[in-house]
Amino acid sequence: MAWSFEFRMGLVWAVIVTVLMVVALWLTRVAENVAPLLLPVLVFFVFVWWVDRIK
Amino acid sequence: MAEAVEYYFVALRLTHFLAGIMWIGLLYYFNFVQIPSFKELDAPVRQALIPKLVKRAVFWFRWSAVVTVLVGWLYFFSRFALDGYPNPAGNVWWYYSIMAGGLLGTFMLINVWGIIWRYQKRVIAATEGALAGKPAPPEMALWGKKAVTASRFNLVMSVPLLFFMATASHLALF
Repeated sequence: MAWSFEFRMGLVWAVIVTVLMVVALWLTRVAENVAPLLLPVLVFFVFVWWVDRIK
Repeated sequence: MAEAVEYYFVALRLTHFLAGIMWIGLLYYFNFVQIPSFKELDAPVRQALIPKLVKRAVFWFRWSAVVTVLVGWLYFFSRFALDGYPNPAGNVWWYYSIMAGGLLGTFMLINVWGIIWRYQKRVIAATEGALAGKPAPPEMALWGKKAVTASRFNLVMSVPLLFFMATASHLALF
């Protein structure tokens, strides 16, 4: 697997989305409102858009 | 009546576990076994394996992903509808943890169908075409690169996904 482009990018994006999910979960718990969960959802769709544009 | 409901939940959980094991098992197979092995194989061997082995593995991979996620959400919302919020045991964290894991799993499902399968089926079709004597399209390497990047994302994402699922009943983080 090594540090190929695919592995590095997959790792970086997955870590970003996971961190945002934890933050959003905490905010959801504090505010009793699920709106913060839109944050990781939006960032994930940026990832999907980005993967589609890899050259 | 209560027994019938329990059988319903057990059936959903069992289906979710079986499909989930198949999905994540195949994801690990692709990432730890197939992709590195294919790099070492000669082109004619790869061409022979793609329509036979890869096509079959990807079929079970993408459909087990669908079953895992749909049955998982059905279980979650059934619990929500029947137990209420918070549930009788007062376990609020369970909902948050399963919801987070479920969302990560849904992201992975979108990757499977939206990226991995979308490009993988082009690779399979191009390989079958090459076996029939047609020239391989120049974009083939790029299709593989996109599919593998999304697959690596899913590989890493499976860790927090399983963390949230495993800790739902055992560890309240917030």
